Amino acid sequence: MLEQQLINGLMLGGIYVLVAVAFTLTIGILNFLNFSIPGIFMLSGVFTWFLLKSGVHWALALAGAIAIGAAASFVVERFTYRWMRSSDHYVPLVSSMGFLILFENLVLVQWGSDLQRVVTPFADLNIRPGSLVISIPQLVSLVLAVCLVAGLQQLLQRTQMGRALRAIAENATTAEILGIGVVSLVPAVFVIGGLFAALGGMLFALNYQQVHPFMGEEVALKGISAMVIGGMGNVWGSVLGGLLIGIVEVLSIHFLNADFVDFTVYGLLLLILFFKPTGLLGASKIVREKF
Amino acid sequence: MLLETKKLQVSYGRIEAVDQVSVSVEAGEVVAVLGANGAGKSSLLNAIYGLVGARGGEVYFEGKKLPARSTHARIKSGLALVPEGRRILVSLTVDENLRLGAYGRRDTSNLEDDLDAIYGRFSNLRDRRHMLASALSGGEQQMLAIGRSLMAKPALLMLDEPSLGLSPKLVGELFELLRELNEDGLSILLVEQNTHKALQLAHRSYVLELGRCVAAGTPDELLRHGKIAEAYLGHSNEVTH
Repeated sequence: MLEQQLINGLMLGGIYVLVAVAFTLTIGILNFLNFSIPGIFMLSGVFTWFLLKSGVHWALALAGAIAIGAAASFVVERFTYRWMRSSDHYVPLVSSMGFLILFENLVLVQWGSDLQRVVTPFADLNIRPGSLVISIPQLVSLVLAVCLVAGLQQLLQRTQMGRALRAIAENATTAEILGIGVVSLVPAVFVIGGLFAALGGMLFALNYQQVHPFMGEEVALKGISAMVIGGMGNVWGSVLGGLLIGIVEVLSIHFLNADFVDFTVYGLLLLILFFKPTGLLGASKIVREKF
Repeated sequence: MLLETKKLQVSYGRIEAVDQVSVSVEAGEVVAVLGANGAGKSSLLNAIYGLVGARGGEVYFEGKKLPARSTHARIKSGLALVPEGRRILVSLTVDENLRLGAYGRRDTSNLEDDLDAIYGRFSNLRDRRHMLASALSGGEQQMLAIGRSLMAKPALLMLDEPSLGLSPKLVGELFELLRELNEDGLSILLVEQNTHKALQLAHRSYVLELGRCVAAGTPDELLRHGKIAEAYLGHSNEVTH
Protein backbone atom coordinates (compact mmCIF):
# COMPACT_ATOMS: atom_id res chain seq x y z
CA MET A 1 0.00 0.00 0.00
CA LEU A 2 1.49 3.23 -1.21
CA GLU A 3 0.27 5.53 1.58
CA GLN A 4 1.80 3.27 4.19
CA GLN A 5 5.10 3.27 2.32
CA LEU A 6 5.09 7.06 2.09
CA ILE A 7 4.54 7.26 5.85
CA ASN A 8 7.37 4.81 6.50
CA GLY A 9 9.59 6.79 4.18
CA LEU A 10 8.86 10.04 5.99
CA MET A 11 9.61 8.42 9.34
CA LEU A 12 12.94 7.08 8.10
CA GLY A 13 13.63 10.41 6.47
CA GLY A 14 13.20 12.14 9.83
CA ILE A 15 16.33 10.37 11.05
CA TYR A 16 18.28 11.35 7.95
CA VAL A 17 17.13 14.93 8.51
CA LEU A 18 18.72 14.99 11.97
CA VAL A 19 22.00 13.60 10.67
CA ALA A 20 21.99 15.92 7.65
CA VAL A 21 21.42 18.97 9.88
CA ALA A 22 24.32 17.87 12.09
CA PHE A 23 26.57 17.77 9.02
CA THR A 24 25.26 20.99 7.54
CA LEU A 25 25.91 22.96 10.73
CA THR A 26 29.66 22.39 10.77
CA ILE A 27 29.89 22.64 6.98
CA GLY A 28 27.83 25.82 6.84
CA ILE A 29 29.42 27.63 9.75
CA LEU A 30 32.95 26.25 9.90
CA ASN A 31 33.39 24.87 6.36
CA PHE A 32 34.41 21.60 7.99
CA LEU A 33 33.05 18.15 7.11
CA ASN A 34 32.83 16.54 10.53
CA PHE A 35 33.32 12.82 10.02
CA SER A 36 32.84 12.03 13.69
CA ILE A 37 29.07 12.53 13.32
CA PRO A 38 28.36 8.87 12.39
CA GLY A 39 30.32 7.95 15.51
CA ILE A 40 28.21 10.23 17.70
CA PHE A 41 25.07 8.78 16.10
CA MET A 42 26.26 5.25 16.84
CA LEU A 43 27.40 6.02 20.42
CA SER A 44 24.01 7.40 21.27
CA GLY A 45 22.23 4.45 19.66
CA VAL A 46 24.41 1.89 21.43
CA PHE A 47 24.04 3.63 24.79
CA THR A 48 20.27 3.71 24.31
CA TRP A 49 20.41 -0.07 23.99
CA PHE A 50 22.89 -0.50 26.85
CA LEU A 51 21.14 1.79 29.34
CA LEU A 52 17.70 0.30 28.61
CA LYS A 53 19.13 -3.20 28.92
CA SER A 54 20.74 -2.28 32.23
CA GLY A 55 17.33 -1.48 33.64
CA VAL A 56 17.69 2.29 33.78
CA HIS A 57 14.35 4.11 33.63
CA TRP A 58 13.61 4.86 29.98
CA ALA A 59 13.51 8.65 30.39
CA LEU A 60 16.87 8.61 32.09
CA ALA A 61 18.30 6.19 29.54
CA LEU A 62 17.27 8.35 26.59
CA ALA A 63 18.56 11.53 28.21
CA GLY A 64 21.80 9.76 29.10
CA ALA A 65 22.32 8.49 25.55
CA ILE A 66 21.88 11.98 24.13
CA ALA A 67 24.12 13.54 26.78
CA ILE A 68 26.88 11.03 25.96
CA GLY A 69 26.62 11.92 22.26
CA ALA A 70 26.80 15.65 22.93
CA ALA A 71 29.71 15.21 25.35
CA ALA A 72 31.58 13.10 22.78
CA SER A 73 31.06 15.86 20.20
CA PHE A 74 32.50 18.39 22.64
CA VAL A 75 35.58 16.20 23.09
CA VAL A 76 35.95 15.90 19.31
CA GLU A 77 36.04 19.69 19.02
CA ARG A 78 38.76 19.99 21.65
CA PHE A 79 41.01 17.58 19.78
CA THR A 80 40.23 18.28 16.14
CA TYR A 81 39.01 21.73 15.22
CA ARG A 82 40.49 23.60 18.18
CA TRP A 83 44.03 22.40 17.67
CA MET A 84 44.06 22.21 13.94
CA ARG A 85 42.12 25.12 12.58
CA SER A 86 45.29 26.94 11.68
CA SER A 87 46.53 23.96 9.67
CA ASP A 88 45.46 22.78 6.23
CA HIS A 89 41.74 22.24 5.95
CA TYR A 90 41.94 18.47 5.50
CA VAL A 91 43.75 17.92 8.81
CA PRO A 92 40.70 18.34 11.10
CA LEU A 93 38.70 16.31 8.59
CA VAL A 94 41.10 13.38 8.85
CA SER A 95 41.34 13.63 12.63
CA SER A 96 37.54 13.70 12.94
CA MET A 97 37.54 10.50 10.89
CA GLY A 98 40.03 9.17 13.42
CA PHE A 99 37.45 9.80 16.14
CA LEU A 100 34.83 7.86 14.15
CA ILE A 101 37.15 4.84 14.00
CA LEU A 102 38.05 5.26 17.67
CA PHE A 103 34.41 5.37 18.79
CA GLU A 104 33.51 2.37 16.63
CA ASN A 105 36.36 0.30 17.96
CA LEU A 106 35.76 1.24 21.59
CA VAL A 107 32.22 -0.09 21.22
CA LEU A 108 33.52 -3.12 19.33
CA VAL A 109 35.96 -3.95 22.12
CA GLN A 110 33.32 -3.46 24.82
CA TRP A 111 30.29 -5.18 23.29
CA GLY A 112 31.45 -7.00 20.15
CA SER A 113 30.31 -6.53 16.57
CA ASP A 114 27.00 -8.40 16.82
CA LEU A 115 23.68 -6.79 16.16
CA GLN A 116 22.12 -6.06 19.53
CA ARG A 117 18.36 -6.09 19.86
CA VAL A 118 16.97 -3.03 21.58
CA VAL A 119 14.11 -3.81 23.94
CA THR A 120 12.03 -0.66 24.14
CA PRO A 121 9.04 0.11 26.25
CA PHE A 122 7.29 1.68 23.24
CA ALA A 123 7.55 -1.14 20.71
CA ASP A 124 3.82 -1.68 20.30
CA LEU A 125 2.60 1.88 20.53
CA ASN A 126 0.81 2.49 17.25
CA ILE A 127 -2.06 4.55 16.01
CA ARG A 128 -4.18 3.11 13.22
CA PRO A 129 -6.06 5.67 11.19
CA GLY A 130 -8.04 3.56 8.72
CA SER A 131 -5.89 0.76 7.44
CA LEU A 132 -2.62 2.60 8.07
CA VAL A 133 -0.22 1.85 10.89
CA ILE A 134 1.78 4.73 12.35
CA SER A 135 4.24 3.97 15.10
CA ILE A 136 4.09 6.62 17.77
CA PRO A 137 7.85 6.76 18.45
CA GLN A 138 8.43 7.24 14.73
CA LEU A 139 5.80 9.94 14.51
CA VAL A 140 7.32 11.65 17.55
CA SER A 141 10.77 11.52 15.99
CA LEU A 142 9.57 13.05 12.74
CA VAL A 143 7.74 15.86 14.52
CA LEU A 144 10.72 16.34 16.83
CA ALA A 145 13.13 16.54 13.89
CA VAL A 146 11.09 19.20 12.13
CA CYS A 147 10.51 21.18 15.36
CA LEU A 148 14.21 21.09 16.24
CA VAL A 149 15.17 22.32 12.80
CA ALA A 150 12.63 25.13 13.12
CA GLY A 151 14.07 25.93 16.56
CA LEU A 152 17.60 25.92 15.18
CA GLN A 153 16.48 28.21 12.39
CA GLN A 154 15.01 30.61 14.95
CA LEU A 155 18.22 30.49 16.99
CA LEU A 156 20.27 31.32 13.92
CA GLN A 157 17.94 34.07 12.73
CA ARG A 158 16.71 35.77 15.88
CA THR A 159 19.38 35.61 18.56
CA GLN A 160 22.65 37.47 18.92
CA MET A 161 24.44 34.11 19.11
CA GLY A 162 22.81 33.05 15.84
CA ARG A 163 23.87 36.28 14.15
CA ALA A 164 27.39 35.74 15.47
CA LEU A 165 27.45 32.20 14.08
CA ARG A 166 26.29 33.46 10.69
CA ALA A 167 28.99 36.13 10.84
CA ILE A 168 31.58 33.37 11.39
CA ALA A 169 30.04 31.45 8.49
CA GLU A 170 30.45 34.42 6.17
CA ASN A 171 33.89 35.58 7.26
CA ALA A 172 35.77 34.53 10.39
CA THR A 173 38.09 37.57 10.30
CA THR A 174 35.19 40.02 10.14
CA ALA A 175 33.61 38.14 13.04
CA GLU A 176 36.84 38.56 15.00
CA ILE A 177 36.88 42.31 14.26
CA LEU A 178 33.39 42.50 15.79
CA GLY A 179 34.72 40.86 18.94
CA ILE A 180 33.01 37.54 18.26
CA GLY A 181 35.08 34.87 19.99
CA VAL A 182 35.32 32.26 17.27
CA VAL A 183 37.23 29.93 19.58
CA SER A 184 34.55 30.14 22.27
CA LEU A 185 31.56 29.72 19.93
CA VAL A 186 32.85 26.76 17.93
CA PRO A 187 32.27 24.27 20.80
CA ALA A 188 28.62 25.38 20.81
CA VAL A 189 28.36 24.48 17.14
CA PHE A 190 29.80 21.03 17.86
CA VAL A 191 27.52 20.43 20.82
CA ILE A 192 24.41 21.48 18.88
CA GLY A 193 25.48 19.30 15.94
CA GLY A 194 26.24 16.48 18.37
CA LEU A 195 22.76 16.80 19.91
CA PHE A 196 21.15 16.40 16.49
CA ALA A 197 23.29 13.37 15.59
CA ALA A 198 22.77 11.81 19.03
CA LEU A 199 19.02 12.30 18.83
CA GLY A 200 19.08 10.64 15.42
CA GLY A 201 21.00 7.66 16.82
CA MET A 202 18.69 7.32 19.79
CA LEU A 203 15.56 7.44 17.63
CA PHE A 204 17.08 4.96 15.18
CA ALA A 205 17.71 2.54 18.04
CA LEU A 206 14.15 2.93 19.33
CA ASN A 207 12.45 2.73 15.94
CA TYR A 208 14.41 -0.05 14.27
CA GLN A 209 15.29 -1.83 17.53
CA GLN A 210 18.78 -2.85 16.58
CA VAL A 211 22.24 -1.37 17.10
CA HIS A 212 25.80 -2.31 16.17
CA PRO A 213 29.18 -0.53 16.14
CA PHE A 214 28.99 0.47 12.48
CA MET A 215 25.36 1.55 12.34
CA GLY A 216 26.39 5.18 11.87
CA GLU A 217 28.19 4.80 8.59
CA GLU A 218 25.35 3.95 6.25
CA VAL A 219 23.04 6.47 7.84
CA ALA A 220 25.74 9.13 7.62
CA LEU A 221 26.22 8.54 3.90
CA LYS A 222 22.50 9.08 3.45
CA GLY A 223 22.68 12.12 5.71
CA ILE A 224 25.49 13.65 3.67
CA SER A 225 23.55 12.89 0.49
CA ALA A 226 20.50 14.56 2.01
CA MET A 227 22.56 17.64 2.79
CA VAL A 228 23.98 17.78 -0.72
CA ILE A 229 20.62 17.16 -2.40
CA GLY A 230 19.01 19.90 -0.33
CA GLY A 231 21.84 22.39 -0.81
CA MET A 232 24.99 22.58 1.31
CA GLY A 233 24.74 24.76 4.38
CA ASN A 234 20.99 25.25 4.03
CA VAL A 235 19.13 23.87 7.05
CA TRP A 236 15.75 23.53 5.33
CA GLY A 237 17.52 21.95 2.38
CA SER A 238 18.66 19.21 4.74
CA VAL A 239 15.07 18.64 5.82
CA LEU A 240 13.88 18.35 2.24
CA GLY A 241 16.80 16.13 1.23
CA GLY A 242 16.40 13.86 4.26
CA LEU A 243 12.70 13.28 3.76
CA LEU A 244 13.19 12.75 0.03
CA ILE A 245 15.87 10.11 0.56
CA GLY A 246 13.74 8.37 3.17
CA ILE A 247 10.80 8.15 0.78
CA VAL A 248 12.90 7.07 -2.21
CA GLU A 249 14.54 4.39 -0.11
CA VAL A 250 11.29 2.92 1.16
CA LEU A 251 9.60 3.11 -2.25
CA SER A 252 12.45 1.37 -4.00
CA ILE A 253 12.29 -1.46 -1.45
CA HIS A 254 8.57 -1.67 -2.09
CA PHE A 255 8.55 -1.53 -5.88
CA LEU A 256 11.94 -3.07 -6.71
CA ASN A 257 13.69 -4.82 -3.85
CA ALA A 258 16.13 -4.08 -1.06
CA ASP A 259 19.15 -4.61 -3.33
CA PHE A 260 18.19 -1.57 -5.36
CA VAL A 261 18.12 0.89 -2.47
CA ASP A 262 21.62 2.27 -2.89
CA PHE A 263 21.22 2.34 -6.64
CA THR A 264 18.11 4.52 -6.54
CA VAL A 265 19.20 6.75 -3.63
CA TYR A 266 22.62 7.59 -5.01
CA GLY A 267 21.28 7.62 -8.57
CA LEU A 268 18.86 10.32 -7.44
CA LEU A 269 21.76 12.20 -5.85
CA LEU A 270 23.70 12.11 -9.13
CA LEU A 271 20.66 13.10 -11.15
CA ILE A 272 19.86 16.11 -8.96
CA LEU A 273 23.47 17.24 -8.89
CA PHE A 274 23.57 16.90 -12.67
CA PHE A 275 20.64 19.27 -13.16
CA LYS A 276 21.13 21.49 -10.12
CA PRO A 277 24.71 21.30 -8.82
CA THR A 278 23.94 23.58 -5.87
CA GLY A 279 21.22 21.25 -4.56
CA LEU A 280 17.47 21.79 -4.50
CA LEU A 281 17.43 24.78 -2.14
CA GLY A 282 21.02 25.87 -2.67
CA ALA A 283 21.44 29.37 -3.98
CA SER A 284 23.25 29.63 -7.27
CA LYS A 285 24.34 33.23 -6.84
CA ILE A 286 27.88 33.86 -5.71
CA VAL A 287 27.07 35.64 -2.47
CA ARG A 288 24.65 33.19 -1.00
CA GLU A 289 22.61 33.54 2.09
CA LYS A 290 23.32 30.63 4.35
CA PHE A 291 20.63 29.26 6.65
CA MET B 1 46.05 59.68 27.66
CA LEU B 2 43.36 57.58 25.97
CA LEU B 3 45.56 55.43 23.76
CA GLU B 4 49.30 55.02 23.74
CA THR B 5 51.61 52.62 21.92
CA LYS B 6 55.16 52.20 23.14
CA LYS B 7 57.72 51.07 20.56
CA LEU B 8 55.18 48.81 18.84
CA GLN B 9 56.72 46.32 16.45
CA VAL B 10 54.96 44.16 13.87
CA SER B 11 56.78 41.91 11.45
CA TYR B 12 55.70 39.50 8.74
CA GLY B 13 58.53 37.03 8.41
CA ARG B 14 61.65 39.13 8.01
CA ILE B 15 59.79 42.23 6.89
CA GLU B 16 59.38 44.87 9.58
CA ALA B 17 55.94 46.29 8.87
CA VAL B 18 55.88 48.49 11.97
CA ASP B 19 59.21 49.38 13.52
CA GLN B 20 59.14 50.74 17.06
CA VAL B 21 56.26 53.14 16.54
CA SER B 22 54.98 55.15 19.48
CA VAL B 23 51.75 57.05 18.92
CA SER B 24 49.19 58.48 21.30
CA VAL B 25 45.64 59.80 21.26
CA GLU B 26 44.29 62.15 23.94
CA ALA B 27 40.62 62.06 24.86
CA GLY B 28 38.67 64.22 22.43
CA GLU B 29 41.39 64.27 19.79
CA VAL B 30 41.34 63.33 16.12
CA VAL B 31 44.71 61.85 15.20
CA ALA B 32 45.63 60.86 11.65
CA VAL B 33 48.28 58.38 10.55
CA LEU B 34 49.52 59.28 7.09
CA GLY B 35 51.92 57.69 4.65
CA ALA B 36 52.24 55.93 1.34
CA ASN B 37 50.96 52.46 0.49
CA GLY B 38 52.86 49.84 2.45
CA ALA B 39 54.13 52.31 5.04
CA GLY B 40 52.66 50.11 7.80
CA LYS B 41 49.61 52.20 8.65
CA SER B 42 47.13 49.33 8.54
CA SER B 43 49.51 47.02 10.36
CA LEU B 44 49.77 49.61 13.12
CA LEU B 45 45.97 49.78 13.51
CA ASN B 46 45.62 45.99 13.36
CA ALA B 47 48.26 45.56 16.05
CA ILE B 48 46.61 48.16 18.28
CA TYR B 49 43.32 46.34 17.75
CA GLY B 50 44.84 42.92 18.48
CA LEU B 51 44.11 41.46 15.08
CA VAL B 52 47.79 40.75 14.46
CA GLY B 53 50.28 39.97 17.16
CA ALA B 54 52.94 42.52 17.99
CA ARG B 55 56.53 41.28 18.05
CA GLY B 56 57.48 43.89 20.56
CA GLY B 57 56.21 46.93 22.41
CA GLU B 58 53.00 47.61 24.28
CA VAL B 59 49.58 49.16 23.78
CA TYR B 60 47.93 51.06 26.64
CA PHE B 61 44.28 52.08 26.64
CA GLU B 62 43.13 54.39 29.43
CA GLY B 63 46.36 53.55 31.23
CA LYS B 64 45.80 49.79 31.14
CA LYS B 65 47.99 47.51 29.09
CA LEU B 66 45.96 45.63 26.47
CA PRO B 67 46.39 41.85 26.13
CA ALA B 68 48.28 40.63 23.08
CA ARG B 69 45.57 39.30 20.81
CA SER B 70 41.98 39.82 21.87
CA THR B 71 39.61 42.01 19.88
CA HIS B 72 36.88 41.15 22.37
CA ALA B 73 38.85 42.68 25.25
CA ARG B 74 39.38 45.86 23.20
CA ILE B 75 35.73 46.31 22.33
CA LYS B 76 34.87 45.74 25.98
CA SER B 77 37.24 48.46 27.10
CA GLY B 78 35.91 50.96 24.53
CA LEU B 79 37.94 50.60 21.35
CA ALA B 80 36.32 49.96 17.96
CA LEU B 81 37.66 49.53 14.44
CA VAL B 82 36.11 50.35 11.08
CA PRO B 83 38.24 47.98 9.02
CA GLU B 84 39.77 48.58 5.64
CA GLY B 85 37.32 47.62 2.90
CA ARG B 86 34.45 48.06 5.39
CA ARG B 87 33.93 44.27 5.83
CA ILE B 88 30.17 44.41 5.81
CA LEU B 89 28.52 41.04 6.39
CA VAL B 90 26.66 40.84 3.10
CA SER B 91 24.63 37.73 3.94
CA LEU B 92 23.08 39.52 6.93
CA THR B 93 20.57 42.33 6.88
CA VAL B 94 21.45 45.95 7.65
CA ASP B 95 19.71 45.60 11.01
CA GLU B 96 21.61 42.41 11.87
CA ASN B 97 24.93 44.02 10.98
CA LEU B 98 24.19 46.88 13.36
CA ARG B 99 23.07 44.57 16.15
CA LEU B 100 26.24 42.52 15.82
CA GLY B 101 28.19 45.74 16.34
CA ALA B 102 27.04 45.60 19.96
CA TYR B 103 28.20 41.99 20.33
CA GLY B 104 31.31 42.66 22.36
CA ARG B 105 30.23 45.63 24.41
CA ARG B 106 30.05 45.42 28.15
CA ASP B 107 26.70 47.09 28.82
CA THR B 108 24.01 45.76 26.50
CA SER B 109 21.12 47.68 28.03
CA ASN B 110 19.57 50.44 25.89
CA LEU B 111 20.53 48.50 22.79
CA GLU B 112 17.27 49.39 21.03
CA ASP B 113 17.73 53.09 21.88
CA ASP B 114 21.24 53.04 20.49
CA LEU B 115 19.98 51.34 17.35
CA ASP B 116 17.35 54.06 17.01
CA ALA B 117 20.03 56.72 17.40
CA ILE B 118 22.07 55.15 14.60
CA TYR B 119 19.00 55.04 12.37
CA GLY B 120 18.35 58.66 13.28
CA ARG B 121 21.79 59.62 12.07
CA PHE B 122 21.70 57.44 8.95
CA SER B 123 18.16 57.58 7.59
CA ASN B 124 19.18 55.63 4.45
CA LEU B 125 20.01 52.69 6.68
CA ARG B 126 16.63 52.89 8.42
CA ASP B 127 14.85 52.68 5.07
CA ARG B 128 16.88 49.61 4.16
CA ARG B 129 17.10 47.98 7.57
CA HIS B 130 15.55 44.67 6.53
CA MET B 131 17.45 44.38 3.26
CA LEU B 132 20.58 42.30 2.89
CA ALA B 133 23.63 44.50 3.33
CA SER B 134 24.81 43.39 -0.12
CA ALA B 135 22.04 45.60 -1.58
CA LEU B 136 23.65 48.78 -0.24
CA SER B 137 25.73 51.17 -2.32
CA GLY B 138 29.38 51.76 -1.47
CA GLY B 139 28.63 54.94 0.46
CA GLU B 140 25.83 53.28 2.39
CA GLN B 141 28.08 50.36 3.22
CA GLN B 142 30.62 52.78 4.68
CA MET B 143 27.86 54.37 6.78
CA LEU B 144 26.83 50.88 7.89
CA ALA B 145 30.41 50.01 8.83
CA ILE B 146 30.69 53.18 10.92
CA GLY B 147 27.23 52.72 12.43
CA ARG B 148 28.10 49.15 13.32
CA SER B 149 31.25 50.29 15.15
CA LEU B 150 29.28 52.98 16.96
CA MET B 151 26.94 50.28 18.27
CA ALA B 152 29.89 49.12 20.38
CA LYS B 153 29.73 52.54 22.15
CA PRO B 154 33.47 53.15 21.80
CA ALA B 155 35.50 55.89 23.45
CA LEU B 156 38.00 55.69 20.61
CA LEU B 157 37.02 54.91 17.03
CA MET B 158 39.74 53.74 14.68
CA LEU B 159 39.15 53.91 10.93
CA ASP B 160 41.30 52.26 8.28
CA GLU B 161 41.14 54.12 4.95
CA PRO B 162 37.45 55.03 5.24
CA SER B 163 37.47 57.21 2.10
CA LEU B 164 38.73 54.44 -0.16
CA GLY B 165 36.44 53.88 -3.14
CA LEU B 166 34.08 56.74 -2.32
CA SER B 167 33.18 59.58 -4.71
CA PRO B 168 34.54 63.06 -3.82
CA LYS B 169 31.07 64.11 -2.67
CA LEU B 170 30.76 61.11 -0.37
CA VAL B 171 34.29 61.67 0.95
CA GLY B 172 33.19 65.18 1.92
CA GLU B 173 30.13 63.78 3.71
CA LEU B 174 32.24 61.16 5.44
CA PHE B 175 34.66 63.72 6.88
CA GLU B 176 31.75 65.94 7.90
CA LEU B 177 30.31 62.95 9.78
CA LEU B 178 33.65 62.28 11.50
CA ARG B 179 33.81 65.93 12.54
CA GLU B 180 30.30 65.71 14.04
CA LEU B 181 31.15 62.49 15.87
CA ASN B 182 34.26 64.13 17.28
CA GLU B 183 32.27 67.18 18.39
CA ASP B 184 29.93 64.75 20.19
CA GLY B 185 32.94 63.59 22.22
CA LEU B 186 34.27 60.63 20.26
CA SER B 187 38.04 60.36 19.93
CA ILE B 188 39.25 59.22 16.52
CA LEU B 189 42.39 57.55 15.19
CA LEU B 190 42.32 57.69 11.41
CA VAL B 191 44.50 56.01 8.81
CA GLU B 192 44.13 57.83 5.51
CA GLN B 193 45.69 58.18 2.10
CA ASN B 194 43.61 61.27 1.47
CA THR B 195 46.06 63.46 3.37
CA HIS B 196 44.39 66.69 2.28
CA LYS B 197 41.10 65.78 3.94
CA ALA B 198 42.77 64.08 6.90
CA LEU B 199 44.83 67.18 7.72
CA GLN B 200 41.74 69.35 7.66
CA LEU B 201 40.13 67.17 10.30
CA ALA B 202 43.00 65.98 12.49
CA HIS B 203 44.35 67.81 15.50
CA ARG B 204 47.64 65.94 15.19
CA SER B 205 49.17 63.55 12.69
CA TYR B 206 51.93 61.00 12.38
CA VAL B 207 53.69 60.24 9.12
CA LEU B 208 54.91 56.68 8.58
CA GLU B 209 57.54 55.65 6.08
CA LEU B 210 58.55 52.00 5.65
CA GLY B 211 57.25 51.17 9.10
CA ARG B 212 58.97 54.03 10.90
CA CYS B 213 57.48 57.21 12.22
CA VAL B 214 59.32 59.99 10.37
CA ALA B 215 57.31 63.03 11.45
CA ALA B 216 54.61 64.02 13.91
CA GLY B 217 52.80 67.16 14.90
CA THR B 218 49.91 69.48 14.20
CA PRO B 219 48.95 70.07 10.56
CA ASP B 220 50.79 73.41 10.61
CA GLU B 221 53.95 71.83 11.96
CA LEU B 222 53.86 69.12 9.31
CA LEU B 223 53.29 71.62 6.54
CA ARG B 224 56.28 73.67 7.67
CA HIS B 225 58.37 70.50 7.50
CA GLY B 226 59.42 71.05 3.88
CA LYS B 227 60.42 67.53 2.83
CA ILE B 228 57.45 65.90 4.52
CA ALA B 229 55.04 68.36 3.00
CA GLU B 230 56.41 67.73 -0.45
CA ALA B 231 56.58 63.95 -0.22
CA TYR B 232 53.28 63.16 1.46
CA LEU B 233 51.09 66.17 1.72
CA GLY B 234 51.20 67.63 -1.78
CA HIS B 235 52.12 71.25 -2.20
CA SER B 236 51.92 72.78 1.19
CA ASN B 237 50.78 76.19 0.07
CA GLU B 238 47.63 74.67 -1.49
CA VAL B 239 46.39 73.24 1.77
CA THR B 240 43.90 75.57 3.34
CA HIS B 241 42.16 75.38 6.65
